[in-house]
Amino acid sequence: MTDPTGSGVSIPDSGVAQLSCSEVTALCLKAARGAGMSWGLAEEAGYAARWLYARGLDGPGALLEVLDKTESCGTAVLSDGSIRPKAHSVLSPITVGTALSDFAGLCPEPICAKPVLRPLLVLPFLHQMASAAQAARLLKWAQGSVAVDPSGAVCGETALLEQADVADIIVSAAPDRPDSAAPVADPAPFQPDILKRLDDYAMRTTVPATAASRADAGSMDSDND
Amino acid sequence: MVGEPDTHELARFRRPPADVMRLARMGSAHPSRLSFLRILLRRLRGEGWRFDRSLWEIDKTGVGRALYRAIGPERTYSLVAFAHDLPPDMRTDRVIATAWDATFALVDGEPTSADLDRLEANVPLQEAGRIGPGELCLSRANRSVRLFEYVVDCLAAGRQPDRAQVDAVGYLMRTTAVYGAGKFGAADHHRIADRPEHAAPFQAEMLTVWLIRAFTVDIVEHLAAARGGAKAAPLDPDIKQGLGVGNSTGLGMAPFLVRHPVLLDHWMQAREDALARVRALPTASDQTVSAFRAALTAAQENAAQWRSAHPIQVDKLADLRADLDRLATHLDTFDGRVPHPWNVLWHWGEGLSLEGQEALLSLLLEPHGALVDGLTDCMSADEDASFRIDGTVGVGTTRALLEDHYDWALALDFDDLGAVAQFWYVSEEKLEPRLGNRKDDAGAEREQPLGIAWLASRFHAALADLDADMPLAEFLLTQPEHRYMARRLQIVARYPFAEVRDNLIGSDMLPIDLMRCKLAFFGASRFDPRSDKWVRISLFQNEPYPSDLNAEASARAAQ
Repeated sequence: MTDPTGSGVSIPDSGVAQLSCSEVTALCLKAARGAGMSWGLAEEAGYAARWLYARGLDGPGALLEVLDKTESCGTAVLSDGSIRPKAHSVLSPITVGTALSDFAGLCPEPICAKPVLRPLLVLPFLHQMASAAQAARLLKWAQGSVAVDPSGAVCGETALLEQADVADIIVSAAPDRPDSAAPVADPAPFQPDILKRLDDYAMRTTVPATAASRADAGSMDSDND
Repeated sequence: MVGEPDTHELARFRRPPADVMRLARMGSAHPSRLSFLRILLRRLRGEGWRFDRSLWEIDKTGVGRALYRAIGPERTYSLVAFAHDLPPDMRTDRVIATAWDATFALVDGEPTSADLDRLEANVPLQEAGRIGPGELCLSRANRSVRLFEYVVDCLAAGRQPDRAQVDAVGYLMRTTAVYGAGKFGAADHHRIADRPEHAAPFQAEMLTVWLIRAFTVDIVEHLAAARGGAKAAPLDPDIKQGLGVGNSTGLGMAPFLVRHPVLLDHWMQAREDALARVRALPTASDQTVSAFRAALTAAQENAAQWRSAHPIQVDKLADLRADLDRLATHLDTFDGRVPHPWNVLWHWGEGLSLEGQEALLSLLLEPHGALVDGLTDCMSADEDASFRIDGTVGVGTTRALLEDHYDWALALDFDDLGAVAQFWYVSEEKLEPRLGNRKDDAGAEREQPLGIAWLASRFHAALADLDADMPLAEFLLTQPEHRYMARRLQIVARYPFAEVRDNLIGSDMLPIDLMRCKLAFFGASRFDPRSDKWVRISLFQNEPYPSDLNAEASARAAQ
């Protein structure tokens, strides 16, 4: 049974596709890797995009913008409760999110990070923090706040956060369990250009075929028997 | 009936991961009663599922569509089959194919006529089409050139095909892919994971293949009737029983076990626990001993019919046949009354080849369903639950964990070109995993992260001179390139059977070993490598058909 865990997403002729969550994970992981993230961070990018997509939020679109600006983002440093870019101008939300999750329990909250590109992508990591601590986590920025509880329920100004391009954020324990979690929306169909551009990045993880590689992958004899 | 075994007591009957997780042993795995297709059949039978063919619109040339329903206590699943007229020159099992003799989708529920039309526009295209959240699997199959037409001709003339000729192939059609779990738009696994019939792994895929098996016989009989008219004969039930569904698979399958470490652990743990439970039994009843003998006889018959022309498999088959014969002889003096008789037998079997040892494992499970079948409840995994890295762990502890769980990898010399001779990559053309030669082939800079031993070694080197108290979080912030391996290490520390303990990029690595292990868990028999990267197998051979289970259920209802 072929198990094409390496396969990409087929783009229908219409260009608009309803992707499954596993396709979103695979596509975004590969796109992040293709754009230059380490495999481990690319896995986090796939997780984050899928987490948002499953809640009706545009994680894949936000990730695409981050990948387009990969060169503006670099490594980060954390000191005195603050995550800052080491040498670059902005922080990747994947770097920030993984640092928040990794440092959970090590570093007193609140932790701030600035400036963060597409901070929507930090939300999935609040879920990880909340699960680990069994207590909701709150993300605040100038225009609003969004909380995520240990079950992954989201409440707050998600629509505003979805639109935020760059923001300084503060993450802390939520004072109380959020009581008005937004209902999980169905994933929206992929816009053709987003799918195409993520796929372009994903294809950078692949290797052009040669006659030898084609032949080597199959049977030594005819497989039509 | 045996009670739940004591976990502590079982420990001394368990094999250590260092023995179990070696490629050579994994590449000798045999299907067992814990295999996924066996789990499916037990459930269908136990719950009295009913089956029918609710649509058959296939013309005289064998082109059209059909619908098979599996009706369970709570839900119905439907296999939609599209039969095509494929020119012989377009028939290939490789993923590079663009057309097939038949294409299929497994529908969650019953398709409406609009669903059928939508599926007809997409399913024949396979990877180039889309299915939706109402579908669970996408698959296709090609006819066996050696057998299909021959059987149609025989039946059309009113005769049965020659048994030896049928046995030499063992199937009328072979599937070349069975996609599930969200692929090409299908329902994500989490949407169905809480249903009991999907609690075990790959149950939708197994149901798909099993219903395809019924289709392969139906289409042959249909074509024979179309050609032979009144004189056409149906296929002899005995011959039919011996037919499975063939399957061709290449490297696409090999990375799965590496990419799903928690799942691999759970499959292996269940199997190893099952073996330990049997070995720990204080005595053996006459009934289980005779059931064991019957299973051995069946295994000997299977080994006699199992054919392969591949030099590696030819040698392994010779080992297997010889070992099963030795086992049969040894059994003449087997004493079920000595303490822990199955354990005594197991230790005797440690003198057999790896093929023989792993066959013995499967045989030991066979008469002990009541003791081991419940372990199949533990074979699925929530992979998300182990995704998060614990960054509070110190670098010193991380180093110690690496030295403990990856000692086999750290012992390798990666300055030796042989240790890094191969690399895994994904082909741009067909998006299928392939293996390259690092010295000669382009593309190593786009290597997939499957050379775990090398990654572990580099992670270990990066941690070497750091303060033991430094939290892993701090290390990963500055060196995110080790994040992949850090996550893996934390998984392996918790799940000891999660890692294949061999170098997957070494010059002597054989991908077919990974494939055989996975296929054995599926329940595949007649493993027949066609190269070191491409295999044929058979599924559901000698198992019942939907009509057999219908008859059983009716008989039970009449009692």
